[in-house]
Amino acid sequence: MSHVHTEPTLDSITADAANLTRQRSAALFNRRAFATSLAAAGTLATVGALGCGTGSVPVNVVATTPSVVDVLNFALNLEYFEANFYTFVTTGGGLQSGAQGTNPGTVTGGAKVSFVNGFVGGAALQLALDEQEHVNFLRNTITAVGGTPISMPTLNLAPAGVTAITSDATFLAAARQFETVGISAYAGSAQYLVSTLPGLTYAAQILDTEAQHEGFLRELCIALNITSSAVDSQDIPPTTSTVFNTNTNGLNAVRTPSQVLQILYAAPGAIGVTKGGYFPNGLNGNIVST
Amino acid sequence: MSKFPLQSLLCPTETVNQDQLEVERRMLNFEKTMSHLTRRGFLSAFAATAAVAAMADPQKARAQATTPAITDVLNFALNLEYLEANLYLNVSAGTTLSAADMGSGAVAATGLPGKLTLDAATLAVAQGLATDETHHVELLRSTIATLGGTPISQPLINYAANGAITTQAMFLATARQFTALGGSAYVGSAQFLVSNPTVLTAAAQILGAEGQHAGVLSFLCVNQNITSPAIDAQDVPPSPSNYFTVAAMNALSPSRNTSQVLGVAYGKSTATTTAPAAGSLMGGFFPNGVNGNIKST
Repeated sequence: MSHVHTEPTLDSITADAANLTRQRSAALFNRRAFATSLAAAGTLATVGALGCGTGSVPVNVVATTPSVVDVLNFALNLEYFEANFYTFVTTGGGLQSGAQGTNPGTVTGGAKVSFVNGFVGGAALQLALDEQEHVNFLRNTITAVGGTPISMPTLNLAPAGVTAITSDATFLAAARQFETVGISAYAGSAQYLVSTLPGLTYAAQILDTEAQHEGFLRELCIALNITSSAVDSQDIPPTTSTVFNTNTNGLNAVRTPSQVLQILYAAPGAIGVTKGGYFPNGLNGNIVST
Repeated sequence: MSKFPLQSLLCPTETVNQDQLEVERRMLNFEKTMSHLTRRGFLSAFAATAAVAAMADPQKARAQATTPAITDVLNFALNLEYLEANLYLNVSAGTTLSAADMGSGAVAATGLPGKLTLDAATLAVAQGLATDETHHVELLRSTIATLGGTPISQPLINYAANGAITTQAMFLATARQFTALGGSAYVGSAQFLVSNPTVLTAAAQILGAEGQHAGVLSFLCVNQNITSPAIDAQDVPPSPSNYFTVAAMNALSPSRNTSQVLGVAYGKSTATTTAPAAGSLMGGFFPNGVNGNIKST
């Protein structure tokens, strides 16, 4: 660089900084042989291919940063799912057709539940309202940022191997699990919303709401002595000694899209799966694979 | 030593030492800053210089005068964690945070309720809250130190600001309010953590915990027919028709900026306040104000 002082210009700063970045990047990347393009988005890049060293569990690392619209549409899939689930158990019908998008899938396996406990029935109603609002809000937000909201994917609310929802207990156990997956998905995707501060704030507000849902459902499970099993190794079922689903740092879990979909596709530990479980045809949008 | 597993930002399955993580963080910080500023199209030479300077010294990453430093944001949150942690430790076990956790310049709290007689469900909740909030205090303190900042010590807190807490009902009503306040503060400050994805994600995880706390406390309040008054105009106290603190439209939980948070904490906001008057530095639960650089409504 020149030793004569001149006012820095955008071009000079950018060029210097770009060189600095490249130098540091090269040092870092050479150590890791970081691939600049992984396989098509959504498929697994094994840690070996990344040259990132041996991790204990293959993680689906997104090669390029997912777009804001991709992330919000990923969340919208989950909201479509929850909205239908709660609307079915309370009314016997699904999400109103006007909120399903232009090319929606079908919903099977939903059924009305006759709730016995006032809190359980009340929670189901309020949860249905909240998730319907979230569907509409996300659709509007995606449109506002210039994206196209996905239509509702095909859903199976009673997949094989999963306990049918027919009672207070089975409803509570499942609802608690669904909310915990949702919170962790929002927590895991916050870092991809940094280019839209309003969008990031909205996502945080939805995250907090889903967490309130889980807290309420957890305390209800404990009060009624209902077991809600762990959905994966991060999940802590609600009990008197484990009121909160938090780790040793007091933190809510974070899940990658892969970890979320391993649960929703009923494909634990499997990588590269693109459909199954609650989503017979997979999610809509660009983030679809375990 | 940070309590975070030092996960590489570039290769998430790999752990790194603090120096390597710092290099990664500055690279990502720099790239984000440059793309952000360039996209805005108003990049000034000063701002660009500051962005480059941020590469050299992360503490100088304050290109915009009004954007608080990450350590300032985390210290702000730490005040609220102190507020919560001591209350939960005290009502459940008669204790407070350890001297180490409160910080060397800590002031002893006043108006502590002491160990309360709680029913089994409420005691279990209070113990769980105490555990989580103690962990949050410790995590924030270690994170601030790792980032090169100084964690604030516990400021003077008066737990009797709204009347002495002598019963389970009063405790639950207050806890519900504290939790609503704390959660909304994390929501409102997420935007100031975007330059550090690791910290942002951790803040999102703390927010998830606070939301769970709110949901549990809502159930207990409604189940025990306890009124927990609204802390300001955004608040939705739990009731049989509103288990969740969300706006009727969009079902979003509140977001509060630091002025709104302090308006509640300093006892300036009422149930109809949307934005408190500016310039209050103390009051309510914080008779001498909060500690750190963000202290005024």
